Amino acid sequence: MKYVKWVVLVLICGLFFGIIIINSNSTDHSDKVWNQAMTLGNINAKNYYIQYADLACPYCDVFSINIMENEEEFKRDYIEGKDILYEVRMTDFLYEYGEHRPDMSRWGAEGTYCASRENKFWEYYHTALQSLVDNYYSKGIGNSKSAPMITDMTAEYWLNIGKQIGLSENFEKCFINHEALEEIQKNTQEATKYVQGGLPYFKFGKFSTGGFDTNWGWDYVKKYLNAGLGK
Amino acid sequence: MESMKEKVEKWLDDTRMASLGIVMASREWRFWAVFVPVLAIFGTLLSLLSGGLGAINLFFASDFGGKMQIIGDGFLGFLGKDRAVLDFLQSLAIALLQSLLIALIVVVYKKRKQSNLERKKNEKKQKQDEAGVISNAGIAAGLALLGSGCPTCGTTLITPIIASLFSSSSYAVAGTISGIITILAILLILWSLRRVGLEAYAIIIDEKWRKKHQKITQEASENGGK
Repeated sequence: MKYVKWVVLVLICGLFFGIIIINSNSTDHSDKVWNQAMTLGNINAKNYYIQYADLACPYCDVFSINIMENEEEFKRDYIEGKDILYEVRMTDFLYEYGEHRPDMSRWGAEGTYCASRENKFWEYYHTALQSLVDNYYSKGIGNSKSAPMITDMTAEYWLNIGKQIGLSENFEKCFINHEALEEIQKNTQEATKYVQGGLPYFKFGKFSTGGFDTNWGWDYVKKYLNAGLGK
Repeated sequence: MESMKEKVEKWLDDTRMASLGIVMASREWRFWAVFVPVLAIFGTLLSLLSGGLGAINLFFASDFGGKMQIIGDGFLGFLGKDRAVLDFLQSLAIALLQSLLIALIVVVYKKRKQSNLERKKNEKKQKQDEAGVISNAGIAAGLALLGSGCPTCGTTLITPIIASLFSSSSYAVAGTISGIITILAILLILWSLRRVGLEAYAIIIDEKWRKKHQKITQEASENGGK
């Protein structure tokens, strides 16, 4: 009888700590994520990384281009290897608050949000980044603070990216009718709470910072990712 | 009363003498001993801040090896590695002017210390001048650093300050303010350079004359003794 009491006590304690451990590992981020189509990784991942971006910001684009060019390693070593939920929070920050209010900031955001409605955010985002590299950045246009600005951008450019990846007519309708605009404006407003120092802004676990240098490569992206893991 | 033409001529003459003063000061070993490290440090700092506060935050989050790599890459970036030509030239110009000013201040300060006689005569005024020029150099360095970063994305160092003081709509003026600050920094450095260069010219010429006078007196006394 004496032993039975002890066994019950140990079982209750075990159950109690078990519940605590299970709950501490249960990190459902679905209530924090802005748009699930703009994420990579498990929604219950241990680590939650957020990148605030704007397609008209060359520094944001350099970071994302590095990830795009090393996608396999990024997914294997970080998304799966380190159990990360990675979210890109796309904004039209430079259109709303920038000095030159570039239209491409809003068009880029509308394009990505409309593509995300068809669950093709990543295809659209990566195709857009590659187009910007091919058409402008590789020619020294719009890729740094002293570079000449992109002046010939049209809304058609962003529609064509949708066509390239085979998005449906709904994408075109969404883009032309500005169906995602309200959501973008709300999200950009929300982003200003965090991005005090401008874009890009990263909240990688406990590591938060603004800015990324255009002469940095994949090794620096890994430094950012590792900093979020406390390495 | 001086006419406009005379004023301009005097200004040009002083600028010429200040330039000569800088050239003469650059013949001193002490000048280069200060100029080179200041150029490397200030240039690296400007390069690190060119993408906002990312490098600085990453520096504090990295281990020793990582910290060294960030500094090394910052230095290489300052030398132009993977940098857009105009970005490189802009940070190089600011770093060169700033290190030139600091090296010149050190040379003038040391020369002043050596010429005890003159120092005693005008000690109070000289101390005020010294403090003024040193604080100008500090202000210019601060302005140059504040103006660095990417105004396009709002990651200039001035942006968070403006945004915390005003509203988020002030992001729109961050680029302009950053540009004005950089121009102010360059003007302040040039103005200080002219002032210190002029002083370097006066001190070095005075030193030359005193040496020459000393030599002649010494020779005369030696000849008189014979």
